[in-house]
Amino acid sequence: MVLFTIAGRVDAQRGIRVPPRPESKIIDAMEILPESQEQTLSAELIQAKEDHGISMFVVTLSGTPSIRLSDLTKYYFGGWQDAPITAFVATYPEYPDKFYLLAGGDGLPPESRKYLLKAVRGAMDKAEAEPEVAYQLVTASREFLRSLIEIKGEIEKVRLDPTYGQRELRVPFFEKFWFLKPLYLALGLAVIGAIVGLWFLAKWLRNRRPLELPDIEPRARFGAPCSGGSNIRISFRRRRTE
Amino acid sequence: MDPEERLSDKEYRKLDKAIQGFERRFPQLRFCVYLNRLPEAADAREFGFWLINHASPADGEDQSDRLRTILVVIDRQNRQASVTVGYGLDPFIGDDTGGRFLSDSKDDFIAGDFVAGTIGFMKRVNQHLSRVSRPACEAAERFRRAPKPDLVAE
Repeated sequence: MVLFTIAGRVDAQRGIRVPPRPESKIIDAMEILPESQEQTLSAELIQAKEDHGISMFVVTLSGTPSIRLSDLTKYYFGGWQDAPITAFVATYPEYPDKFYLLAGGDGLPPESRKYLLKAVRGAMDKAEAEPEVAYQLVTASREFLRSLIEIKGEIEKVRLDPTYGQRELRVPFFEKFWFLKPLYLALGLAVIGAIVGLWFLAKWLRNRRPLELPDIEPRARFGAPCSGGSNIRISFRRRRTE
Repeated sequence: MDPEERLSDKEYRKLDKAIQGFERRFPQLRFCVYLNRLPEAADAREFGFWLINHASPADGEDQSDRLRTILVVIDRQNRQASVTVGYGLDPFIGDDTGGRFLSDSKDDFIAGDFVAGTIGFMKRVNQHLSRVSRPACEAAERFRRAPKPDLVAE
């Protein structure tokens, strides 16, 4: 089915007619968006191009395209690309995946692919939470645009500081725990052993140093010259078991 | 003193080494052990009292040494053991203290291991005297330095 009758770029190979780039950033052939919402969204998309260099287009087709939506959107991309980052949110009636999101351009290096996939999933998740298709389209567009702005910011940070976001390289074990190197470990153990040995030596010497008792005046008992005797006695007879 | 030579050479050396160690720790003190069979029904305490006061002094021994002697008498006949201390140790090793230390060696004496029992008793006395030595000397020094009251004869 031919989608557009207005003059536009035609892909000679496949006969795909690419309409002119819309100044409003939106072509709503399905007439999903109420006028007020379309105007608001259009203003946001135009401002995003001015502020961030991200040119996003929202396209709804009136019927099922003759080629896959993903391929069609790429033709549109080729014809409408006008910023370092160009993005699309496209759909047609009964499109099974709800919306097709695409982003590309010189402003997106190959390393950003995984972040783009995450942005697409995030936008689709948020859109699905909306009850009406108009709000779903607007939410998907806004969320995708917000993610692209964030990705662009991260790209800029990496450009300014190539080490930004990089994980620290793992330090080799014996460089990190240098004290565990066998030589250091042996020395450490020797020092600990010496300290413990010295402690035991000091204790041993302390237990062997001579001690004195004070002199006392002896109090003789029973006329005995040296000792008055004591009452200290024990019996060590074996106990008889019966 | 082991008149019956009940102890083997090894046991004798072990006990002698322990006594020397004790006397190095307390150079003022003497530790003596008498192991023998006393007459039937004899009291080891009386024997110890007689031995420490009236036995002839050994060569080089001064009578004042006996004031700081600990004598352990082990009677194999009547299966009893006693401890007699000189006047100089009266304040430090009383009947209760000495009795407790000697009782802890009872199992060794029952088993016939007189050396182990005696060495065990000696160690407990060593620990006790080590503990009281410093406070006793400090108290004696304080007493010595304290001003003495003037005694006025009436």
